[in-house]
Amino acid sequence: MTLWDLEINKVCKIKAFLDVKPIIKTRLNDLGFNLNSEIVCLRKSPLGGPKTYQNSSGAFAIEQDVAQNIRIELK
Amino acid sequence: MSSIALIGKPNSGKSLLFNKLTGLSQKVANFPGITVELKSGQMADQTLIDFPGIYTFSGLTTDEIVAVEKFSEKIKDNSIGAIVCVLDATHLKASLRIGLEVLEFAQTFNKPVIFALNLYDVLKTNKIKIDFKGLSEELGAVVHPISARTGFGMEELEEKIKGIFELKISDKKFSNAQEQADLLNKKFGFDNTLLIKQQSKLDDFFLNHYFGGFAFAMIMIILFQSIFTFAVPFMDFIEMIVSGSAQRVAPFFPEGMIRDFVTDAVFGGVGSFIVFVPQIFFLTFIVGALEDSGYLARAAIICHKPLQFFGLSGKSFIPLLSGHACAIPAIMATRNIESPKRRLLTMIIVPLMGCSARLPVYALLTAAFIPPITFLGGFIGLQGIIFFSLYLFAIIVALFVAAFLSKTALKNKSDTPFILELPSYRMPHFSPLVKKSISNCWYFITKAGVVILMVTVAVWILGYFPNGSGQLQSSWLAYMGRAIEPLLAPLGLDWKYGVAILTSFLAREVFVGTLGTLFGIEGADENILGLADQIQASGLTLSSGVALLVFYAIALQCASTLAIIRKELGSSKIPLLLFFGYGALAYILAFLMKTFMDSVSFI
Repeated sequence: MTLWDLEINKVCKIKAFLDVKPIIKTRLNDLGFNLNSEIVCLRKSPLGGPKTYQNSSGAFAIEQDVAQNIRIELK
Repeated sequence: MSSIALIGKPNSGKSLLFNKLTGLSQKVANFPGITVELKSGQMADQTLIDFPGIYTFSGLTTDEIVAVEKFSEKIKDNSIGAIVCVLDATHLKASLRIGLEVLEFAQTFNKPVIFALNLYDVLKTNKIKIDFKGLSEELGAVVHPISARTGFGMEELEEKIKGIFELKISDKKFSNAQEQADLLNKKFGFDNTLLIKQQSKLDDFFLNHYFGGFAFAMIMIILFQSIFTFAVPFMDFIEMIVSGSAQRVAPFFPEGMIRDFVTDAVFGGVGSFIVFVPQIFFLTFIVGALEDSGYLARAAIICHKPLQFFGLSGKSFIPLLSGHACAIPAIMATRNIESPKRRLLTMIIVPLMGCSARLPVYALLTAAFIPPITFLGGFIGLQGIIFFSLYLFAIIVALFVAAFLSKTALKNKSDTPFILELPSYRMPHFSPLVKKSISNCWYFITKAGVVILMVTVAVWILGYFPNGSGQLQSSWLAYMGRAIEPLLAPLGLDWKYGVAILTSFLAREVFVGTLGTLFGIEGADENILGLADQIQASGLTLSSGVALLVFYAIALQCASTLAIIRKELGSSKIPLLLFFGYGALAYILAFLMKTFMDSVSFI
């Protein structure tokens, strides 16, 4: 299951970064998307755009190409 | 004396703090060879330098990387002697992430650091407390709670900054900024769910599947209308001042060449671009207000998916929208796009948006060729449909150009995916917005104005010599027009249109004035319908007229746009490619349109 599949208001933990460029992984880590960090899906966007997620650092919109490369486990 | 750096994560209220500390005395300082803007301002006898927001020292975007490089350079050469690091109290973990890196770097070079814990008013409103004294002890540096918005704690912060050079250097060690930030956040921070839920209530509407798109469309319509509605009286006023000044100043010069130069080249040429300054002001102000409010981040999210299909980003939307008023501020607005590829693509297609300078050309040619037929009881007019079609046509071409370049020439250019922090909704701040808008206008006048003046002078000289005023038809410009006549013949255009196209390189609306002169009509801009009759009488066919409209919808005839692109990219290569590329594309599409219309028997 990937972060993109996470349903609204469900909580998960990040288990792995799949095909994510190192520089993007670093940025995700900087923004609080770390291994085992808890993430909540806040909402989908109109027109199928980026989804909004909350972690301990704040709320962030992430596009599908990135979110579907983050493997998660439901909490 | 060394300067003091102001640094912190994006959306931490750093710019507002800078403006409050320096009393809005900031000046934009463009450092050679870089694209990033560092602002400097005075606080009493101390100089503050405001750096763009960065998440970490390992920057992701070009602007971030350059900002970090510049910061490091200035710390190392001692031109920065102390640092004020702004922490966002509502996002403590992310703020401490960069804060700890700054602290470690400052320790290495013996620089004192003060942490300004901004947005503390939001915490107080929600009855949340941070043990800032404990945090201060943990960091070995001053942590002072403030609110740049309400003024809370600002006087004390100013006092602390005045004595910053006497502060002791922190001796605390933080081996891993990310882990340490997490630990400190757990110890001193709070659960941010409450604050995020508050902004979620507004997002429930603005990002709603049904209302979100509607709200977005309404805000954009209001924005677009406001630019024209609010700016028009100011534009009329500037036009009146310029023409009045020309009349007053002209008698001070001897009759003949010098007076003609002053009235035609200086007032006529430069005046034609200064008139757009109010539109730039209102556009910057309204877009800035939307940005301050936090809505632009939501607009970028809504637009991302459709624009992504063409290789663009949700963040491309605002520059593309702004480009309908004027390409200059729109190109400057592309700085907000992190991805180098998507930023360049946006910059490339902004000149295709139907800017206000195209309006006089569209108005003239539509009046000349399109009959004033109306439908639905006068509610919809054929001329209006043609106008709308021209804008739509340019947008479609722009999207295809972006999609084509994205998959060919720019295929391998570095890209950055869309990851965006959702800033909290806030009330915009009036004074800094006015200051920023004035600063943008001044940038436009000083940077693009020089190029425009040079082109104006060149066009005037070519149109004036060798036979002087009123002899345009025997001027060098006419000679050049006749020289390019064979090129225009396939479009059914004669040398007069060639001259109009040549002169309108300066600014598109010059096309109308030049044709007016050539057809012997004074004040052509004010008498578009009279000129339209003359164009019809000149024997120009409908297909050639439509071809000309297509040409003007695509061709990049704007010296200021080229100058700004050159300035932003630091190279002449792309603006030159755009000038010739769009010129060729405009010509080919115009030719295809004429050929198509000629081949359809009923037209």
